[in-house]
This record gives sequence, structure tokens and C-alpha cells, in this order.
Amino acid sequence: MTNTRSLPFKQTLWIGLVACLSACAPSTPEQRLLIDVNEKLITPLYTDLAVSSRDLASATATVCGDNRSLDTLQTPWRDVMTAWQKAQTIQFGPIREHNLAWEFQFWPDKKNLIAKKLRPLLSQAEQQTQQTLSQASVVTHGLPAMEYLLFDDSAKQRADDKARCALLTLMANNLATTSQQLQQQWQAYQPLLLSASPDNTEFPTEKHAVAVVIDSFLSQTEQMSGRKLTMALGLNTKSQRVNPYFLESWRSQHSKENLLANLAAIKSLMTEAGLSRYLAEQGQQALADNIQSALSDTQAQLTAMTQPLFEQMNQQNTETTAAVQQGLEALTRHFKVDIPNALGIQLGFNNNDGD
Amino acid sequence: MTKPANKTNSTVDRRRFLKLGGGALVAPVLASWLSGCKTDTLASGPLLLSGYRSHAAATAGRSVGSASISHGAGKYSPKEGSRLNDKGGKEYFGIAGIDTTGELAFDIPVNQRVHDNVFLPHSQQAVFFARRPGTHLYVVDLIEGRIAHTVTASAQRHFYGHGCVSHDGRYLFASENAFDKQTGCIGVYDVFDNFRRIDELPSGGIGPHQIQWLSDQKTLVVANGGILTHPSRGRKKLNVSSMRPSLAYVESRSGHLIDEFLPPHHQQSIRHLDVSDTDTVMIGIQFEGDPTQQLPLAYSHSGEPELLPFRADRRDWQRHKQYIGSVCTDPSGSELLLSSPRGGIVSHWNVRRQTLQAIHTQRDGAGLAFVPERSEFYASNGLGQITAIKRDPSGRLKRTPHYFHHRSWDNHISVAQSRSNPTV
Repeated sequence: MTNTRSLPFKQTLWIGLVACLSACAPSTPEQRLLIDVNEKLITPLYTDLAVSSRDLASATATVCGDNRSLDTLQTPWRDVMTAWQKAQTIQFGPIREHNLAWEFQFWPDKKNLIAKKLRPLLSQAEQQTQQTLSQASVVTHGLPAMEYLLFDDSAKQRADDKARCALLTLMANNLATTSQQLQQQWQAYQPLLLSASPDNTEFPTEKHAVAVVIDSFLSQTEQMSGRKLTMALGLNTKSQRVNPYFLESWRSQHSKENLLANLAAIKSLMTEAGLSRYLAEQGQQALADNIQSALSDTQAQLTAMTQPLFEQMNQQNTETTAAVQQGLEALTRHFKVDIPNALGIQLGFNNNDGD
Repeated sequence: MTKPANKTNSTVDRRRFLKLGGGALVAPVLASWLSGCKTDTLASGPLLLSGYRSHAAATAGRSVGSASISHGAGKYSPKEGSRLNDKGGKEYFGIAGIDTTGELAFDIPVNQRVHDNVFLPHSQQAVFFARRPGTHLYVVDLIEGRIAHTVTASAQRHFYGHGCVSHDGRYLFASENAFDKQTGCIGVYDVFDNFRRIDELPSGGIGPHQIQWLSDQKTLVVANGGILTHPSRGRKKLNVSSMRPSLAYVESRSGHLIDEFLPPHHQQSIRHLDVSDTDTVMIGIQFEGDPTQQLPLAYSHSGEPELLPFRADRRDWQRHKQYIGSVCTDPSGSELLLSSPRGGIVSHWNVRRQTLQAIHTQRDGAGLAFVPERSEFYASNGLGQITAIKRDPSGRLKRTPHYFHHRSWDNHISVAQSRSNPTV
């Protein structure tokens, strides 16, 4: 499905924006923030995602071509997952317009659809093509699908390296193509974010554009505090039964690293992209400091864990994980309540309170 | 059940109504009014009507922006209708009329958040319905730009935010929650008798939401969402696992359930609908089930034994985030627009083929309306934009937004005609 925004409008924006970027300094704090969010946060995140995905595709081709151990692909897979977990914080623009999030990662997977969808595909792996994969369930496209093939013992037992290689190659190529397209789509989209005006079909004012950025990071912190640990800790059920298989990336035991990557992207928003500076400019230095502290504390708690989260939960050792959960909830409150109140912005109306 | 008063008495009632409301409120009966998403085609320019939430301080009774018509204060009570936000600013709910050039025609603060509204062409009024669990109907005099009546729901009833009016302009029908009986109903109000509640019809299910007329002028089509709520529990959904949504056809005088059609999955809540001039009913779904299960979110019905799904790729349906906020077709029923505020999109559909034509971004978009005389759709959103959408000769969509500061347009807009010199 193509987007219907007219090309001439985009071209006009581009010409005006390029002219302005080369000639004029940001005229408002909001404009400066948005320019930095684009240049120092989102564009680098999408570039890293495209580069790491390309590297994984190229490594897959080499490893499979040379009949080397597929375990050597685990490290480049972790690199892409880390890049994706950082880029996941951007939940507006082409990632949403083209509905690409599941192309990278289908999760949560309460019904173990990853294994269920991949088993039949594995039995006919060598008949698959780039086209049949793209037409197959989105569950089979992304990083968790590759994770199953690279890390899960049952997949290793079920199929030989040749079959796994056939699918891994298609999946890695698909990821590389998707992430490159996302990078290009963002370049086409970003003039809209940087040219807020009453005639802009998405951002009538710069404050609305700032609100969209904040809302995107709120969605991320909500997913972190509402899903990434709560399900595994059993906090969403009456029984409160701990189940480490509800952790994200449990097969690769990369759950802690995913959270650290999320937090790193939020830190980049605060520092490189300048949200802390912007809050200070708005007389909200204390709030900026509080958010930075919450981030640092949670990062320190996670970094101090010597075991993977999966192992800790398997041993019913949930104390430190529960402390991290509280840190994530505090971070969510900052984005949900404190920042909107401090800046006088509204994060959606009908989309979170419809009927 | 008591039946609505016999419509042959309407001449007497009309005189009484004129006496009550003033001679300025007479207008000719129009053959084609209230088609599709409540559009009308009168002589002068159309008016878009919508509720909103504002962050700016309310000044009741003040003309706002470039308003050409002053308005009265209605029964605005700062104590009930507004609240201080965390920064000490005042938030309040309001209702407004905007012309197609984006100029505010009237702007009135109200106590309760409204949802949809319906135009009464005979009296140049509009009725704004409080959303659940609200208990007010605001009757706005579009000529004076003021609230003419505030109707309060009966005991053990609250409004669901939608309604429609009979073709002769006499009876207003509002979807309501009969929460003492845990069922849905349709309240019937006599427009010519100060909106007195004269009857109540069963809606054919729980949680009736949007209702419309068929062209026979006898049959109401009702989107029963199937979701049980109780005002003591706020907006909490109480029966999601056992809900039973339906599209019900109800005889408007007797309340007889003529027929009903269920969606394929019992958690496909039918909330919004629109009807073409040829009585094709198009419905929008809000799916309450497993979010990874992707079923169609729109169906049509035109006498078939079951609801017919609109067809799209799974990925395109996913962009709607399991939630359709508004449904709007042009009167001919050739094009359908669906809004998804959660997906931040408006999708365009070919009704004859039941296929997707295009999707465009409409952040926090909700309200949809069609203005026949301009052959334009309009889409509103929570960012304060009301955007005209027109297809150019090459088929490409041209979007022209009008922006209103400090204003989040609520879920629906409708179209009316305001005339400054009404014919008596």
C-alpha cells in the first residue's frame, strides 16, 4: 500500500528544509530539539540498524557458503538485535506507516508461534524463496525467527545446517532489505517533522512534533515496564507465577541486553538529542536531572546483574528484577505525566481515550 | 411498550413547536437530508459540528476566533465542566461549528464531554450527545449559536454518544444504557415538545452505539457493541469474554427486532456505522479479542444472509490497530472512509469491490464527514486539525488542513447548514 501524501508537497518541504538547514540557525528551542532528534538520534539509529543488518546478511552468506558453524552468526545476530532495540524507541513515521515493527520482531509470543510457524517451514526449507518467505506469516521474518534457528536446541535437532542456512539466508536478506528501506523512508519523512506549520498534515505546531517524540518514548517505556518484565514476573496474573519463557529474547538470553539497549536510546534522547537541555530551557532542570538519575540507576542495576535474566528467574531470584521493574515504572511516569505537564503538551486524545 | 405519538398529529405539534421555539426555526422539509454520515444540502454553506476538549481557559458566552455568530453561555458550570490540570491551566469540554473555510461559527463550553451530534434541519438545531456514561443532550440553536435546551437522561439510563432523528424532524432517537436491566435501549424524544422523552425501544443487544435510519423511514439500524458497562464502574468493560455484538434492524415505532446479524467473532464489537442512500450499511469494528488475531475491521450489509467483509492484506488491517473510530460513506455509497485514531490513519475503500484504495496518516484522527455540495470528505483529529480531503482528477487525494489552537476534536463530526436569514 503506497502512502498517498503527494510528492510535490514532500519535494517542496525538502527544498525549503535544505535551504534553511544550510542558511539559518534554529529559531526556537523546539526546532533545535527536533533537528537534533533527527540528526543525532533517529538517523544514526536507523543507519546502525541498516549497517548491522547488512553485516548479518553478509556473514550469513559467508558462513553458510563455507559450511562453518552457524553458532558464529550468534554475535552478528546480537548486534542487529541491539540496534533494533535502540531503534524500537522510534514509533512514528515510516516504521508505523509501513507497519514494519513485526518485520523486525514479533513479540510478545505467548503461544510460541515462532516455533509453531517455523517447524513446517524448516521441513521444506530448501523450497523457500525470498518471495515465499515474504508471503509467509510475519512471525517467520524477523529477529526472533532467526533466534530460533540460531539458538534453540530443538531447531538444531529438527533440521540440519543446510536447511537452517536456507532459511537464515532468506531471513537475513529480508532484514537487510527492510532496514535499508526504513532508513530511506525516514530520510523521505523527516522534512515533515522539521517543518511544523498549520498546513503540515501531521505536525501543525512544533510543540505537536515534540509531543509525538515524547509519546513515542512513552510507548517504549510502557512496553518496557508493562511487558518486558511483568509477564515473566507474573505481575499481570493473579497467581504471580514466575515464567522466564515470557522474557523477550529468552532463547538467546539477550533480555537484559535488550533493556540496556532501550535505556541507551532513551539516554541518547536526553543527552545527544538534547531533551535534557530543552527541559532546562523550559525551567525544568530538576525534572531533567530526575530522569537522568532514574535512567542511570536502572542501567546500573541491570549492568550489576552477573547472570542472564532467564537464569535468575529460573532460579526464582526475582528481587533485583523487581527493583529494575520499579525503575522502569518510574521512568514511564516521567514520560507519561511529568514531561507532558512540564511542557504543557498533550499526548493523544482519541487514540488513548476513544469510544 | 408505548408507541411514539401518531405522526399525523404533527401539524398541531408543529404549531406548538413554533410557538415554543420562535418563527425563525421553521425550515422546509428536505427529501434527501440526513443521508450517509449526516449530511445535508441546503442553499448556503455547510457547517461542520463537533465536540472538543480544550486546554485553554473557558470564557463562557464569548465569541471565539473569527466567529461570525455570537453565542450564549448555555448552562456551563465551571465547577462541573472544567477542571484544573497539573499546571494550573483549565481544561474544559466544548462544542463548536466550523465553516468549510475553517472559520469558527460558534463555540460553546459544556459540562459533559460529547461524542457525536445530529443536525435537525427543520429547526436549524443540532443535538450533541454526551458520551458514555454521560447524561446530557445539548440542543444547540445554530442560528443564535447558543444552547437552547439541555436534556438530562432518565433515571437508570445514560447516553452512549450517538443518535439520529426521524425524517420528519419530529423524533430524536438516542442510544442509551438501561443499566438497571443490563441491556441497551433507544430513547425516543419528541423534538416538538421540548425534547420530552416519550418512549423507549429495545436496541436488540447490549451497548448500542451508533444508530441510523434506512430509507423506508421506519427502520432503525443499530450497532450493538455488545459490551456491558455500568456507571458505578466508570468506563470499565464488564463482559469482554462473553460479549455478543450485533447489527440489529429495529422497527422504529414498535421496537420490534426485525433481524440481526452477528460478526464472525463474538469479540468483534460493532460500534460505528453509516448508511448509503441505497441502504447499504457499512460497519466499523473494534476488536476486543487476542490482538495478534487479525480479522476484518469493516463489513457491509445490504440484505445478504451475513455481513460481507471488506478485504485487505493482513498488514494493512494491522495498521488500523484493531480499532475503527468512525465510519463515513458518501451518499451514493461508492467510497468508504474509516478512521483509526490508534493507528493514526484514515483508510479509503472502494465499496463496490470491498477493497482498500489508500491509507493516509491522520494522527489521532477520529471524526469523518462528507459534504456533498463540495464532494469533499472532512477528517478531524485530536491535534486540532480539521482536514478537507478531495480526490483530484488523477485520483490522488489532496488534503487541506485547518488548524485550531488548544483544541482536541472529539470522536465525530457531522455536517449541517446554518442560515443567518431563515425563511419563516
